[in-house]
Amino acid sequence: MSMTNGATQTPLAGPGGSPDDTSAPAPPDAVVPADVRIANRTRKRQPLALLGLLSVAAVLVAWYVLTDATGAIKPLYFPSYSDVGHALNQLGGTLVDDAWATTWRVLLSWAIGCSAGIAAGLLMGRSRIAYYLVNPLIEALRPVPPIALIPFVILWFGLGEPGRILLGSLSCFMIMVVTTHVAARNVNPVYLQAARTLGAGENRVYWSVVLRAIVPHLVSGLRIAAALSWAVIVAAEYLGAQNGIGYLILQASHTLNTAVVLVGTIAIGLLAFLLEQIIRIVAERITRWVERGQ
Amino acid sequence: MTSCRHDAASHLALSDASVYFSIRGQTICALDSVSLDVREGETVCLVGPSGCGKSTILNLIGGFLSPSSGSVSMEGRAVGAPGADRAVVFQADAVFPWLTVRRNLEYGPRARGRFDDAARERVDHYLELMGLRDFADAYPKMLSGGMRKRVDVARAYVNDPGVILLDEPFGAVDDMTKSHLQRELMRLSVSDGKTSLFITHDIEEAIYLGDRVVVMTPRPGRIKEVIEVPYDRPRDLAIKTTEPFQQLRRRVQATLGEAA
Repeated sequence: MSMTNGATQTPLAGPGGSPDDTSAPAPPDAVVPADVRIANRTRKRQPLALLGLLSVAAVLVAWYVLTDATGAIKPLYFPSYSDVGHALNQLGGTLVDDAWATTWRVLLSWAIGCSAGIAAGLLMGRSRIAYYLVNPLIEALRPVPPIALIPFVILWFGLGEPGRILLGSLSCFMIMVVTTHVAARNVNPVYLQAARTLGAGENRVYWSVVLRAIVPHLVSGLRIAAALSWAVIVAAEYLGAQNGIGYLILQASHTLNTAVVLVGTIAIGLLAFLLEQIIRIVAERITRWVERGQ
Repeated sequence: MTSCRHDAASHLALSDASVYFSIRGQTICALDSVSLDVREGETVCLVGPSGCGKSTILNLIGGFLSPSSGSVSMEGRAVGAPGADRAVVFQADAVFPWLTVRRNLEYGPRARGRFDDAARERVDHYLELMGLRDFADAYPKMLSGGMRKRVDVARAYVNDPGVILLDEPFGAVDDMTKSHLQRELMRLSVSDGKTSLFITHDIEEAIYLGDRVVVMTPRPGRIKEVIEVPYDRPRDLAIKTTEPFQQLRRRVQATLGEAA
């Protein structure tokens, strides 16, 4: 957000009144209300959003043509519309139960992992001792895919719920600890200096500047963590879970029931999309102040 | 000669202040025994090319840097860490983007735990004075660069500091907006009479705004000449085109040219 950028956009600044007049009150710099730029912007975005629907529709049509219409793909390799409809009918209430089981696992591990990650990231930014103590461990563990830890997790926690939640939480933790720490460290120093010269003590500088400035970064971390959490939880459900979408998919694949596998896959996609939309709407309310690129 | 100058004792003083930096094992003298007295209510403009130490002086007074030798004092006391008695308007955009314009102006009083009715009145006063009233509840992203600079300046004045330090505040705005902002600063200097130190590389800006213009030269950073500006306040922007003003400008330019 450079001054030059702001100045070249200048929707509001312009000459007003006589330039030689030093005593009159400031000339109104703007005749355009401040919200006009925003209004223009959203109006332009609408037709482009429709393109997304178009590509989804194209895939659905191609699917229909290749399966039900022509039979080009055998049902074993990819189920047709009618197979999927049949599977949905057959599953009925169990699908909802499984979806719910997976969803709450995702939400729980997301909440635990992200809050712990944010707390640890902030602590690393605040205390050099904490940073040097914890950072090597995090850097060493971070590249390890959570799935690779499954054998240990089963060994330690058995096949129960705590192990799955731990895996989900751990993956969210890793994302948030790094995101938070980097964001807190990269807060524009001019904001810190400005706060100090306005009389803020170090504690106030921290909560009124650092904790405010990092919010947009935290929000993107939270979105990435939510998406990863779905992937890890579904994979963890392959192992020993008695319900959940992962369990559903695994059972169906044993009997080569590709229609149910596809239903499960689509369910995950839809649920993850739904959660992403909820996060996005909440995030946009919290970060209304952020300048967005266009 | 100028209406804002008082015969009060020096408000802000640098005496024999030197600053050395060490860059890759080499010691560089950024400021070479500089002495400068700023009187209460006076506007002093520091002008010079980059590397002449003008920002170093501001960092010393702001408390971001301590002198290698010599002293920096305000009202007789040595200057310490950054504080609310020395407001700074930075060249970079320092308006908090997560606060509305009004909240930005309220930041100082809130930070000092003095957000009372009087502070509220000051906020309204400066919103009005800087033409920001209609944007009080807007976020900075909705404002142009020039408008944001007004918010920055207003935020400094609301906090009622002993001195205002301005570090090339208009360096990044276009010429048209710059003239508007200079005129507004002139109006503020008449209504508030704050002691100010204004850093710029724009000679005309320095003469227009300053009671005195301090010409600095680089390597090492030194004060070359101090010029008294013989105009009363408020000053009309039109004086910039008059012959005496241009003579002053040529004189400053010549001093800077000798050093180059």
